Parts: sequence; C-alpha cells; structure tokens
Amino acid sequence: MKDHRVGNLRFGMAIDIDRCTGCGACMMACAVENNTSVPPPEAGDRRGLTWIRVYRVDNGKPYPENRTVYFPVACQHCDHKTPCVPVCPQNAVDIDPQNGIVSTIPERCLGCRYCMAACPYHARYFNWWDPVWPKGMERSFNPDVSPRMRGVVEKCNFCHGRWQAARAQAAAEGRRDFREGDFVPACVEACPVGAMTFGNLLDPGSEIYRLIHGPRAFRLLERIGTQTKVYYLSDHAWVRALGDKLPEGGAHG
Amino acid sequence: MDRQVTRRGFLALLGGGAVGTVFSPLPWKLLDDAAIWTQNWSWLPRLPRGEVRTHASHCTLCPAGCGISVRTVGGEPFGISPIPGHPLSGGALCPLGFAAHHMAYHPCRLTDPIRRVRERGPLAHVPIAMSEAISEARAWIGAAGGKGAVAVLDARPERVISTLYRWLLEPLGGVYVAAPGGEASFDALDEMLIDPPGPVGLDLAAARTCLSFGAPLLDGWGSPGALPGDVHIIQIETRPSRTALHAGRWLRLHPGTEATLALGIAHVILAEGWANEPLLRERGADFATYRQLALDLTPARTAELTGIGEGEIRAAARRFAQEGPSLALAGTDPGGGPLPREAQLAVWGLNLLVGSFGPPGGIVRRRAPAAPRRRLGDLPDRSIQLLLLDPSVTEAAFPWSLVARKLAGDQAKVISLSPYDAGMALRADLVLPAPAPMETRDEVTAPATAPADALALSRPLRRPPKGVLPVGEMLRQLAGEAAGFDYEALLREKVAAIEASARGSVYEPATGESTPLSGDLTSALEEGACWVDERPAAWPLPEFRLLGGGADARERMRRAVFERPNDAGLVLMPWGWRGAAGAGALPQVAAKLYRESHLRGEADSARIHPETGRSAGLRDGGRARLGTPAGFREVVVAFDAAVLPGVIHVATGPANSSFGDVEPVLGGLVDLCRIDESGSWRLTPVTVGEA
Repeated sequence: MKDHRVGNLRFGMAIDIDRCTGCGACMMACAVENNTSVPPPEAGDRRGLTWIRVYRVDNGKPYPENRTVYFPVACQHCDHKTPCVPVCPQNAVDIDPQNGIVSTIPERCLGCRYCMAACPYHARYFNWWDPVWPKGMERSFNPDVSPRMRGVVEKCNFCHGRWQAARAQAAAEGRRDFREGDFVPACVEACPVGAMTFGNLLDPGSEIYRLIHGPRAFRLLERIGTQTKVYYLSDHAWVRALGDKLPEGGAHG
Repeated sequence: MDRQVTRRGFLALLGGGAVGTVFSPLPWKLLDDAAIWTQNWSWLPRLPRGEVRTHASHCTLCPAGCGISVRTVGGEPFGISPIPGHPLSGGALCPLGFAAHHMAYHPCRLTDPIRRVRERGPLAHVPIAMSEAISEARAWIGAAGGKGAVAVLDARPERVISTLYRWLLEPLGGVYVAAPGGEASFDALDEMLIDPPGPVGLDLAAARTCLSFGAPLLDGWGSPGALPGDVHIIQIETRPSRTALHAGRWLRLHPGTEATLALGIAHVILAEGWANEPLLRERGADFATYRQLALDLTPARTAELTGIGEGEIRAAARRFAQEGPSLALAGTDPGGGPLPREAQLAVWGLNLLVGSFGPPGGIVRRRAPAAPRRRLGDLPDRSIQLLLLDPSVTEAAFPWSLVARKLAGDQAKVISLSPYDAGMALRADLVLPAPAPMETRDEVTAPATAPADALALSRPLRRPPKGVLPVGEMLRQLAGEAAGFDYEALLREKVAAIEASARGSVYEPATGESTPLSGDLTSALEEGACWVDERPAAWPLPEFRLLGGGADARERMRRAVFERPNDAGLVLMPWGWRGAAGAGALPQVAAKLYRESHLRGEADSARIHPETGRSAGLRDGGRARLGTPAGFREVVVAFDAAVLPGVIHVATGPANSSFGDVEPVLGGLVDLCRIDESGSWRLTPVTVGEA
C-alpha cells in the first residue's frame, strides 16, 4: 500500500489507564463540543452516539485479587491500512495525509455502514434517529460543529473544529508549524486527573513522544497492524494484555 | 436491411441497459440523493450565530464551586471548560459541569409557578400566575403558627441567600435546617469537642496518608481535581467504588463495621505507643475509658468482626501513625447516607490520637464563624407546618421519609424553589420557578470540607425566561417586600467586609496567579476571580470527649463496636455520586453516562457477587425484585466478583429505562431504605427474587 503520510505531523493521544478513574468527563465534554444528539431511551447501549466511550474492565478475580480499570475508547485513527477508508463507496472517509486525522464527511455518507463493519474498534456510530434536542437548546450549540443528520455514520475526529481554529490562529501569527498545546481535543482538556495526553507523535521533544516510547505504552489490537495513533499506558501486565482482546459488546448495529 | 424490432432484440436491449446502468454512476447517485433527501428536514437545528466570547465564572451545580471558563455565542453559553490551577477545583470539572448550560433547556424546566392539584408526584401540578403564587405562599406562611412551625431546608448554608432565609424565619420563630448528606459529616466532631473553636475543614492537599472510611474521594468529593496525587489513600469501604479501586490500598470490610475497624486501628496505635498519651489524658475527659475499650478490641477480634486480615489492620494503623500528616475521614456517600454516630466518633477520634487536629495536613480551623443551623433529625416529629426547600436541596439524595416524619401531617405545606418540576419539587404543594445555572448572579462559597473559606461569583451569562425571578427577589416578595431584603446590597456588604479585613488572597483567572487581597475585590469577583481566606494560626488541641456526650456513651460505643450488625440475609447498600444521586434533573447528555457506557453501576441494576446471585436463583443480566418493608423495586442483575457476598449495591439516581423521559419519577431507591436511630440509611435488610 502506498504510504499516504506527508510531513512530520501525526496527531495522536496517550491515555494512562492507571490514572483514569472512569468519571466520564471525557464523554460529556466530547458530546457537548461536537453537538452530539441524545438518542431516545430505547437506543440502549448499542445504538447511541458516543464518540468516546468508557469501558469498565476487570481481571475477573474475586477480592482481594480483583482489579478494575476503565478504558476510554474512541476512534483509534489507524495510520496503516486504515480499515474504514477503502470500504467506503462514497469516499466519505478520509485520512488527512498532513496530520493523520481520520475523518468522516457526513454529507457524502449514504449510510451503508460498511465502515462500521470494517472498524475493529467499534468506534463508529450510526445515526439511527433524527437529531432532536429539547426546544430552544440549539441556541447552546457549539457554532463550529454542524449537527449530523439521520442515516449517516459519525465518529471522533480529534475535535476537528478546534484544529481548524488553532491552524487559523497559527496562520494569523505567521507560523507554519504546530506547537504543543496549540490545540487539544475536548476530552483531553476535560480529564480531571490528566490521564490523557495529546500531541505530535513524531516530535521527539513532545511529552507524547516520551510516553509512547516508554515501556508502559501499548495499543489496541496491535497484532492486526493498523498502527493506531491512540496509545494506552499501564504498569500492569494484565492491563496491557487486554490490548489484544476485543472489547465487550460485539459489533454495532 | 431489415430493421424490424424483434421481441428477443427488445428484451436484450432492456437487459443490456439494466446491466449497463448498474455499472454507471446513476444508481449510486440516485441512492445518494435519496439518502440526502430523506435525511435532511427543516426541523434539523441550525447553528447559532453571533459574537464568540469567553467569560471566567464558577459552577453552582454542587457546593464544590469549580472555576469554569464559559464560551458564549451571541450571548448564549455553548461550551464550558475548567480553569487550570483554580484554587477551589485545581483545574478540574465533573461530567455534569460540562453540560451545566444545557440545564436551562431541560424538559422539566419551569417558567411559571405551579400548584399541586392532586396526589403528590408527576403531573400533580398546574401552572398559576406568579402574583397568585406569592400571595398563596404568604398566606400559608402567615397561617403557620407557633415556634418551629416554619422551616427552611438548605444544602448550601453559608451564602447571602441563607441570611435572607434566616431573616424570613426570624419573626416567625422558624428554624433554619441544613440538609442531611454531604460528603463528610462534622456533626460527631462537633459533639466530641467540648469547646469547639468554630468551623473546621480538612487539609487533604497537605496530607500524606488518608484513612478514608467510605469518603467518595474520586466519586464526587469536592471537585474531581481537588485531590492531590501524592496522598496515599487507604479506602475502607464495602463497595468496590472508583475510590476503592484506585486507592493505594482498599480494605473491604463487612457492612456496618466501620466503628469496629476504627477502634481496632486505635488499638494498634495505642498498644504500639504511637499516640501522645500524656497529652490525650490531659485534654480528653474520657480518654481512659476510650483507651480501655480500644485495648479490649484486639486485632484478632477486629479481624473476625470486620473481615479484614489482622496484618492489614496493623499495616494500616502503622502507616496512618507513622506517615503523617494523616487524616481519617468519616465519609459519606451521597446516596448512601452518613455513617452512624458511633462510627463517626470512632473515625474522627483517630485524628486525635495521631495529633492531626490543628497542623497542616490535618483537621484545620476556618476563620469565619459558622452561621447557626439545626439538623433535620433534631427537630420534633410532626412539628413543621410549612417547609421551604432551597433549590440546592434537589441535588441531595435522602429518603423523603426523613422529611415527611417532621411534617405536621397532611395539612403541612411544602414550597419548593426549583428550576425544574423534578426531584423534591414533585413533593411540593407550590413550586416557585428558580433560575437555572448561569441565569443569575450566584454566590460560590468554599465547600464544607475545604480547609479555608472562599468567595466567588457565578456570573449571569444568559437571560432567564420571563416569569423566573432570582431567589433573593422571591424571598423579598415572600417577606412582604420588607426593608433590607436586598440580595445585591447584602452581597456587596459581604464583599466589603472581606475587603476591610485585608485578609487572604485573590486568584485571577486571567493571569492564573494568586495575589494578596488589595484594592477592589468587587470588580475582581465580577471578572471571575476567587478570594481564598488565609489559614488561621496554630490551633491548640481543645478538650474533647472521644466517646461523645451522654451518660451511656461508653455502652453505646461498646455495642456499636462489639456487636456485629445483622449477619443473616442479604443487605441492600445504596450509593450515588454527587449531583447525580437524586431523582432530580440532570443534563440531557448525561444520558450517555447511563445508557452508552460501562461507567456506573447503573441506577436500575443491582451489583451482586456471582455466588450470592446464583444461590438466590438469579442470573447475570436477568431481572430481580428487591423487597424491603418500605416497598419493592425491579432491577437488572449484574454479577460482579468484587462485590462482597451477601451484599447488593444499587445506585440511586434516574433509572436507565426512564432517563431522558420528560416525565420524572417520584421517589427513588433510597425510599426503600431503613433509617436507623442515628439517621443513617446505609444498610437495609432486603429480600430478592427473580422478577
């Protein structure tokens, strides 16, 4: 496969599982930032819209050996053989060669859900219902993110609206480079315990570079070779071993 | 040439055309267009337009007072972020805080007063005019005769609004009551100290070891960022809470044995000579009795009663005594209720043993005197003829029966000041619509557990609906527009008094720095600054009674420590996290926490040990019926190997099945619970069977 990468910018994230308390602030901040609609109660836990979703996982042993951790799982932004890209008949899934962000173009999506079937991380969500909010609540929408319509697939895009704003700001300052802290996704900003780190995976001077090259780092389903840009960190071998197991819940839809 | 069209040729043309069309862009285009035509309708919302600005403010959803940065578009809040380095929140915000601006559009939002016309519960109210509501409320207040007949229940007692409540009550002989619950109860601590030095706080940030008896340090203890990373937490709790799972050490004790374990730890501290016994003897009126009780309780006996190994007990005691500053917390789960009185006494007493009263990292004194208040449990039963509920009360989780037993029968009236027709408002005879978050200027004070006083403001960033009055204005009208009922003037007076004291420091969100108080505090607060009082000087150990007051104090403690509570059968232990523990209104997108993630022991599911579940004939994922003398509730069974056998944990709060519905539900799980003599509802014997 032709290498699509251009330049020395690859956005990625490191999530410290040992620090995550499972509070859910990342999920809430994500939903508010991206104007994610609230599906009706019958949506259950399979047909909702959760660009980032926190899984509770334990080692299955009784007390006192029992250990539980929380896994925030969003789109892993696969950098190699990105499974959702080639299956889309509409060219609605795109990987930005400049920074590696995998994004979906809802206006092109016709709702076939091939990308959902292809995603090994269950990180894509289908709009089963019209996006409906309580009356008047559209006044409190984020003006930088369009709400999506029924019948299209959506997912995490590392808060693309924030990236656009940061890029405009950098341009206004006459800069062409990305500096650490220029922008972070809403989930990273929201984490109250600082378990999430965002930055340029290729910058040897960045914090994320240091974290992902340490012994605590691992990725989900590393064996399938998708070279995801979301890394996880843990001191515990049993947690790192979870990286090669599929999350509970099965496929969507 | 014969150009006659044959039937075969015609069919071949049709077939060829159909096959050719499939390989052309046409079907895809049609499919795409059909998808777009059917996906886009006029009712799909459009994005707001207008100037984008950022404002520093404070969250008022709970007493933690987190510093927030609010982005607005066209004068409407659309995004909330925590302020890094804020002195009250440490740069963090809870999940609900991120969606606080959505609360104004909650389906249960009230824009007019409502009056009850049928049985208490959902759909029991009809709208009325504000003038009519105020007249009716004043008539009820006037008709409630006698001392203590009018009461106000308030969950955030140190505000200017609280002063207005007291003024309203004063001519009526009414009582101001602090709502039960909260994250740590200092009631027993007040009882222990013979001459209390005033309000106290907890200096957790400077502590090195924290012995937490169920305190929800990671489940809603102040701000989620207020807990420093370098304190070693020993979590003593039956439930596998998030705090327990992330603590340095988790001791899973048998339900209701907190007092036993606390005294067992005291045994090790005393027996190994870690306590300053001469000082304790000098200041402690009952130290000798306490010491003997503790020494009677050997680690082996403690281990037998609590289910925690002898080695673990000794290790926890040694760490607590040696790795100071240390703090022992008598914690409170927002949905589970306070620890029983004797357990609170035993836990707070550990701080006395290791000298954690006064120094940094321990229990510290706050400067401002606490305003007088009563406890709900201390009021005579059937004494309240009119009860006024502050908006903050809707977020608490406690059994309504705690309140109902204090009401003077069916004739008693309940008036709720609430932005929503949900939670406690469903019980009210009259509901006056209060502003939602960010609709009026609101005051933020330091949480009850904070080590120092603080003052900040929540700024009005959106216009409240017509007909919604600020709470101060409603109180002024309820008081007959009496002179002095001016919220803004009182707030200015409070700020002026702080300015005059020239004490403490001011945190400026624009610079991220704290500087000593000087100059115009009012303007600084208007711009989102936060004033924090300075710490008082050293605090000499006051005289104390380790076993509390009363002639039978020793016997009560002995019973609490040596008698194992209800060993037979299943025990129901409710729990909840702050803000989401009540049956009140929550932001709509909080539904994600309930329905689309694995974050909570969901509100309608019961976590139970697999062996316990199987022996009761239950299966993982099946439905079960929980029964107590107070009623029944159907739940979904979730097997969890970390749960203690014989215990069922159910979260309070909205059920998964009903969350997001417009119609709220009257009452919740806590209404099934048994309230013991000390006002705790942590343990309730329960029966369970397949539903």
